[in-house]
Amino acid sequence: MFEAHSINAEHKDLIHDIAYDFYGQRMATCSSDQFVKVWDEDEHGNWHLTASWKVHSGSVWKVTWAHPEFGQVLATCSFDRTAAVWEEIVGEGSGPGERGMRHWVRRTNLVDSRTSVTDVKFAPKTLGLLLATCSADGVIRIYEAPDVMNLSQWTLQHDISCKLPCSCLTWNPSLSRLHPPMLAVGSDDSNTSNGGKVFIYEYSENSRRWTKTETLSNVVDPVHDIAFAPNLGRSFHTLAIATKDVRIITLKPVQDSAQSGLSRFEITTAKFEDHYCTVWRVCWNIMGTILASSGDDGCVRLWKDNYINNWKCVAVLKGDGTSAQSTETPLTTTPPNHPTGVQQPLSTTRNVTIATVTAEKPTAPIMSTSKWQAPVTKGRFSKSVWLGNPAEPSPLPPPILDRPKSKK
Amino acid sequence: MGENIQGSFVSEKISKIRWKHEDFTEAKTFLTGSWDNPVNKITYWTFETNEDNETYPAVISSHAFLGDVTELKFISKDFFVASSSLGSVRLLQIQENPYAQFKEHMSWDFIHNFKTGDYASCTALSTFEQDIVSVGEDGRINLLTARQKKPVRTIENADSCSLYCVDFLRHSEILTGNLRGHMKVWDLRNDQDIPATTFMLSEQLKTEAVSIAHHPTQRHIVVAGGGDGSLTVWDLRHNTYPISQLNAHARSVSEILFHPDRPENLFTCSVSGELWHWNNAQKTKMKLDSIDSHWLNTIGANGKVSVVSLCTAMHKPINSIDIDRSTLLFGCDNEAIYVVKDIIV
Amino acid sequence: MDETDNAQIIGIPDDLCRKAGIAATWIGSNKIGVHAYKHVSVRKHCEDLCKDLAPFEAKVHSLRPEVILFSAPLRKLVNESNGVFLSIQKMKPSASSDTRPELLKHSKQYRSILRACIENIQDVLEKSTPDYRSTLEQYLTIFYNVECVWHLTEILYIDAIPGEVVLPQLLEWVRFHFPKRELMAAKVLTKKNIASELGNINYWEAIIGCALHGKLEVVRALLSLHSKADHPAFLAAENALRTMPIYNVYGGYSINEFMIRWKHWQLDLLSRLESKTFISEPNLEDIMKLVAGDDTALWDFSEYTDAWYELLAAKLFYSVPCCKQSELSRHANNIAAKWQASKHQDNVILSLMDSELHHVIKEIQYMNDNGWFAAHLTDLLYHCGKLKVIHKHQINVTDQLHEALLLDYGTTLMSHHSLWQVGASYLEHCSEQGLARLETLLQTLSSGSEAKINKIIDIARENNLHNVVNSICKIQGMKCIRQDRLGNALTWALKAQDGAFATYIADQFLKHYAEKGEVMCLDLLENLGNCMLVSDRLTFLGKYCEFHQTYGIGEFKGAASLLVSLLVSNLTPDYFWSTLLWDAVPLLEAEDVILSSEDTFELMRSVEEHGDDPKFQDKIEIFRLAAARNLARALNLEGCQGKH
Repeated sequence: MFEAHSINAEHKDLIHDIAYDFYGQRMATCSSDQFVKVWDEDEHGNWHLTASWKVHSGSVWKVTWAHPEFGQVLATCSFDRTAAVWEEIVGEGSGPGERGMRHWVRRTNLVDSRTSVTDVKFAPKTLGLLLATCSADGVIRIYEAPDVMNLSQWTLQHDISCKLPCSCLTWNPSLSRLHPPMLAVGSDDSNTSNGGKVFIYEYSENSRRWTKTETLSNVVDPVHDIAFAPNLGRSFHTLAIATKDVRIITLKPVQDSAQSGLSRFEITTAKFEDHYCTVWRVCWNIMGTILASSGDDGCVRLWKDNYINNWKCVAVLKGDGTSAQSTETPLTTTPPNHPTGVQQPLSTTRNVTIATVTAEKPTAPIMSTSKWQAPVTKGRFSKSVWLGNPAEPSPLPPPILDRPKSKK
Repeated sequence: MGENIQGSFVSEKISKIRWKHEDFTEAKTFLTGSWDNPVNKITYWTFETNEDNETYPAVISSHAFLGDVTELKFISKDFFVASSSLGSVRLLQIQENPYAQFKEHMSWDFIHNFKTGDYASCTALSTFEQDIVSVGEDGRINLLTARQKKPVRTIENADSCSLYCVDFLRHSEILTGNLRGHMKVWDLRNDQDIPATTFMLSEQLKTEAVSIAHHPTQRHIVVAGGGDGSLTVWDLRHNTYPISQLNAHARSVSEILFHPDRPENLFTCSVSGELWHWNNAQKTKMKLDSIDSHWLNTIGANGKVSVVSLCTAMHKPINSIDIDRSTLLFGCDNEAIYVVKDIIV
Repeated sequence: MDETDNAQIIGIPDDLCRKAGIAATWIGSNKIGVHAYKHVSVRKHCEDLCKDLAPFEAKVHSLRPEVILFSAPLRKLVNESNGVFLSIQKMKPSASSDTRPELLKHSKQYRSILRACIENIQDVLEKSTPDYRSTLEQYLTIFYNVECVWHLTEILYIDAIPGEVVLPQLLEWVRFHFPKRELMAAKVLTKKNIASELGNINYWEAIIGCALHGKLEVVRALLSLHSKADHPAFLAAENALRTMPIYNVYGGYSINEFMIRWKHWQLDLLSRLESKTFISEPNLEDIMKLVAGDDTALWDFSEYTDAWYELLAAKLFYSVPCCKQSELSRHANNIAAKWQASKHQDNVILSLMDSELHHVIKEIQYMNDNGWFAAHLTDLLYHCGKLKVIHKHQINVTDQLHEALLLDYGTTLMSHHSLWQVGASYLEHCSEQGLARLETLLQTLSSGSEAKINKIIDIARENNLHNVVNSICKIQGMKCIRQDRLGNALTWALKAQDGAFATYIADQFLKHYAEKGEVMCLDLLENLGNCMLVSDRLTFLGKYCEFHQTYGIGEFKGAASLLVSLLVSNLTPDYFWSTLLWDAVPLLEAEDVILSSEDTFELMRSVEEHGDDPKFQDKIEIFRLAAARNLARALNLEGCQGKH
């Protein structure tokens, strides 16, 4: 069973991307209607629209949040050949409990690209405030805000040409110092004879340059999305690729590869063709344990690995025309986020419980249907509730240390 | 684990627990406040006896509460004030007739807030008869009185940092403690919004002052608990240098409680799950009344004070304690409340 | 390990999603945001595409799996069992002492908690509305089954069975979990009517049920209430039942001796059956056939059992009373196969009897209890040393399996607004990946009041996750800045010893002063102590405040020397020079000579070097004049003093 909260995002066109902030409490949506909307979730799981503004003069392809250490910051990229960085500004409240006005200001407009900017991503925060963009003419650009407290100053640090049109990029989120900064770029070039469509770039501290260290030559079909899994202390990297199927690739750094001139990584690929058609998007959960892939079959498939690193499809989501199960739930309490009950005319929230429609393949019934039968004896057989282990030694007298008194 | 401790799981983390003291008999009912739920509760409890002749806490009534319950204090037999992490304070009454319920008599809404209009947590409050003082993360002090909707006085920028604790030293004087361990005494007769005295919880270590308690009969004796688990004792008549300073608990001290009738007994609980009973081993009550030798002054020096753990360390923070006669209550982040009976005081 | 494919299909009630297709974005660890999605080639506009779909509502659906453990009655189970779990983790694994008795105690504690939970749900059930009722009934079924499996696991793997003869425990288990007919019997017995068979339609059913459970005393008591209890058939039955040998490890007989006695008794009964002793009473005869170990009679009675393992217990009791644990599997498989047992619970129990723990653990992950059972039972077996899971290539993956289950369970709890502390305590005990997960998840906990933040930081500190502490402090500081609370922001920066951030905040203070001429948050800045050393800029600010403080109380000498030391410190930010220099003017012009000639030279040198700030241009002449006058006075004074 799933619980669902649905909102009408009120975009006048298709939503291309949604992004959640670090806490999953703020959502940004972007669309071909050239707008970005920001939504805040209250304690009860209802989403409230808090901002909506025109960000570009073309379709907005991607929207992404910066780490909250940098404030409330978004980046967008568009068909209009630009990318932009936005910061939320909060004004003073007009009185106790009256929330100050919030609005988003454009901190910078990155206009270096001569074609549509197809993806934009902030680097892991350990690298500072870095932003990577890629564009349809095959250029990857890395911008930096040298003063992280000043979001209006960005410098173009690197300008890397990868020859093929770029459709997507991803930073390696590893926080380990052992791993150099790394990003992967995918190309949706449809000519399979052009070879590999995924490129790995690494930054060398010595040469202060990004260099292509790997081309995944076994991915020759157009790549539409790409995502490194959160690393969580693993020694290897996991990369998900949306191409004509779902690929999950592990890259194990090889020691001393510089000397031997061999590949930097030991690469293993897992391929899943369950969508039976093109895969458009891939997305990892925060721990890198479940991958969501969206395909042209109109389904989202969730892939989970088990303790021996076997990936398996655990659930399939798909659009369903009927919405009979949904019920309107009026908001009864004023969400505390909005102490004065500021009207949120644009937000409509519906609570739905979505039951699993069918099992994909017939499976053995999981629960026995037999009803509960009362046991004869009463519940607890140890005298009272759990307090601690009786076998643990009885509490020792606490250590008390007198601090030297401070004398002036 | 002693037989004298009994626990009940209540499906919510307990931030505050308070006996409803009775005049001439032992308390039979108590209040709890919860935290960290989308909607929290203040619950009124009594004890019932089951067929095995065991008494256990049972709910009389429950009151939905927006935000975390950050403090509960009785101001009379059945009136109490409750503060919330959404910056509000409420005055509620426990009504028994025609059925048990809470009646709200006053609500000071969002009296703690930031310039941006966001609510600020009301972190603590203290009461003196009908007067209430509240402090919050906005560094503001609000003086309230039970019968009046408008705050009597607001000290807007009382502190540049979040205030974490407050105590009425006497009717005209309060003590506040903040996130940096700054302690400030405020003379309420003074119209200027500046503290009478400022001193430090600890000169060496900058840790937050998280809890304060004063001696029930000698109000100038004040104990403050630190975010590092330390306890600091002052005799505010003399000076503001601590008379003793102890590295006590392993982690932050959640609450400090003097036994209301037998002040030679002190109880402290901690985020590390410890619950300690401090007792003047010699029980020289005569000495207590002498001028400047309260046992707290000499804790470290001569080791006359006995300290015992009342239970094996809990694996989650103990947030709140209260005692009536020989029965102590405590509430914990493992979503349970515990009753400790027959404490020798 | 071949996993059964049980991917579920979840329908999103959204017509646009159906027409256009969908895309999904994760929210944290287990929530997912879904919206209608159609791929548009970047190189061409999408307007035409959208026309096909119009009119539409672009919706976003956020989905989260329903976790039953988050319901109020089950939160008790979650919290209380956490105590037992942590207690087990504290046990020192030692070769010398057997931890088995201790673990058995813990196992019983878990079951006790389970039963209390079941009982509590029953209590709540009585008072609840019909909708909630069915949900609670579902919980009851789940945890009843959990307890049933746990009980058997405890018997077979955690408890030490004396002489390896499993029957007594097995009977006890079956009796506990199928009490229906014993309750029936109790009802009949309490009435104490002669000729009970006439007054109670359940009379024979109760007897059969009790006979299947080996409750011979009850059977005898019931038979004695029959109207024909004094007839020969009944007397013979009573005699046979009374004399039936029951194996007891401590009974003084070896198994062999017991078997001889038992066989003898059985032969005796068989001969009575053959001589048609019971023929006049068909019901009684069937029961006596069962007692004599007749397989046909056993299966005839299967309608009076609810599960195959009930029948198994009867089979063993009357045919193989000394069945050892190692022989259990064979009998169990025979019965289960003939019964055509196929329910999930059946498979789990059969696997237990087969000693296929790995399979058991795999199966119990599908008990719809959100992993509570799998995590806790596996952990207990792991600590018992009973768990050994071998993957292909003979790789031992026991540790991985154990950790994976704890990780899943802990992660689930971490996603709850209140149970995150409990969740964290499971992750803390996962040696491989636990800390990395905790590191990630702690940071994503929704921040509320500082009280909550402090508790999160506390857990991070306990686990030496210093970068989590620093990151949380930084985010708190940024939040404070947005709320225009520079003082509190500085406090958070100091908490994390974040020099760069402290510098930024100190700059804001100084700039504010340079512009407005007032120092904010004096109460904080005057009491910085050693903490100011975290950043040069903050040191400058702290000292500058000290200068003002000293000046304020009229200690001009002290103030002057502080000012001069600030001037020569090389800590002054460019934008602040003019302010600092201007601060010297009143000291230069004071009635008494406060600044020495040397100090004055220092001032004049500074003004030459840094006095080019446009803001200072109208003041520079005044400054020079004041400095010159003071220099004259100071030299004069120093000259006089020098003479003496």
